[in-house]
Amino acid sequence: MDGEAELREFVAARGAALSRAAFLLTGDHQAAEDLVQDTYVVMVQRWRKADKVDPEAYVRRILYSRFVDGWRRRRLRELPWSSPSETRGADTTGAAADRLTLRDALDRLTPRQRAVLVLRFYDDLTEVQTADVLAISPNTVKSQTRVALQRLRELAPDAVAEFEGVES
Amino acid sequence: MSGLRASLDEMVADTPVYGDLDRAIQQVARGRQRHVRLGMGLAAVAAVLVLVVGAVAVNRDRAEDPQPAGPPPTTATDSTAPTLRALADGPVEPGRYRYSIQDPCDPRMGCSPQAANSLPDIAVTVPAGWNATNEFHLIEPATQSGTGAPDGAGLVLGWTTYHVGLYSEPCRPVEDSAPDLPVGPTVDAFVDAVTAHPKLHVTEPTRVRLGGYRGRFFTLMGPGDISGCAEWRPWDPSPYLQGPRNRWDLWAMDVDGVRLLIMAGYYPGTSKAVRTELHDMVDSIQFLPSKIRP
Repeated sequence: MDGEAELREFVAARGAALSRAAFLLTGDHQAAEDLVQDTYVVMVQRWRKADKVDPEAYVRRILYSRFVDGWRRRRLRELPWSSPSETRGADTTGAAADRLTLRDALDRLTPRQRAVLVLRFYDDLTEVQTADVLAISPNTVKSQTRVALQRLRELAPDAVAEFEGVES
Repeated sequence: MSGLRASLDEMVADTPVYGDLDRAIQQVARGRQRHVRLGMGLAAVAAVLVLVVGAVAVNRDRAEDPQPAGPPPTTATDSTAPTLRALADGPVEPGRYRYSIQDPCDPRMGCSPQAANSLPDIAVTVPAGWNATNEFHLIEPATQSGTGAPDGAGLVLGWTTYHVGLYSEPCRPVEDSAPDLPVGPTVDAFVDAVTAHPKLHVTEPTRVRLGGYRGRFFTLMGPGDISGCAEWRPWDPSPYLQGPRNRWDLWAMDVDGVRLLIMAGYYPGTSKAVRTELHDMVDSIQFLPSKIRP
């Protein structure tokens, strides 16, 4: 199978999962689309090298590192004029209200904290695997997870009440 | 944990599939074509220069030196200088590498596009037992600690450049604001701003040379307790403190008018061997000629 066919097969199999992770990281559909597209460009450039490693782990690392690094640059010009989440207030009933509150709380985490939470609790990676994706130490993963969960509890106590007891 | 997982699942339940692989492939192909055209153009210019210089030299030799010619002179094409490998993500085989500073400047943030396009590459010799992460401009020991406390380390190559702002409060409660203290583009502007900052504990800066260029060196000593900070970040763009008592040896270099920061981070608990390797890497740095980027 040639490189392009492998790429297409990978995207067909994992594109949806990458999209979901991108949305959890960015909390915004347009930003998630940009992140996935940016990841695909890097992936195309580097695919030849990626075949020597686990492609999924490799692409995951591209996605998360582009998010953390790219968000840092974007916020310098965007945040002074940032506005509330586009869907905030659109639906205030029941579970939807909880979901929006959790989403807003995630928005207030640092990108690395958000990435750590998504990797640990959505992708189900271990601390060591998470550390490898983000190129940080497992100790940093541990501390960032603890701080992020505490921050979520402060910001969205109702939404995260059921998480109490989670060991970080 | 299952509750959090369920909530996250619910958040992404209706997420569409993003991304267009065909567009990415076309974009990469266009970029490669630009590289090829640029390379062909430069090669053509170089060929013309070689012909002109060669013709002038031959005519001059004929005019000034009627004696039989000696051994042929060494020319640029005889150079035995090795082509450096690019530093790639993951474990690094010991050797000398070329590192390209990756997009540290977004022109929309007020950076000079000319300067962004003329950033030098960095040549660095890496010993065994280190990992590279280009996205973070980082070379770190392949240990459990990595860059973390109490005994980690890290070499950061050129993340902080000529566009940077300081935070009046480095202990960031949450990363939600831009730097509030503007800094000029020169080495002195940056070093003077840092040394004048009341919440940054730094050593007295000294004039240094590194990689053939002049700059200023100082050490930033991070606080021992950063538990109340979401991040402790003195300026931006920059890494943030990787743990309490993280120390950053900083070389602020003027490379052909572009300010570049080389940072060697470590802790009081970092082994002497790792610190020696870290500083040996710094000593090995050379700034390679700037290049035009598409």
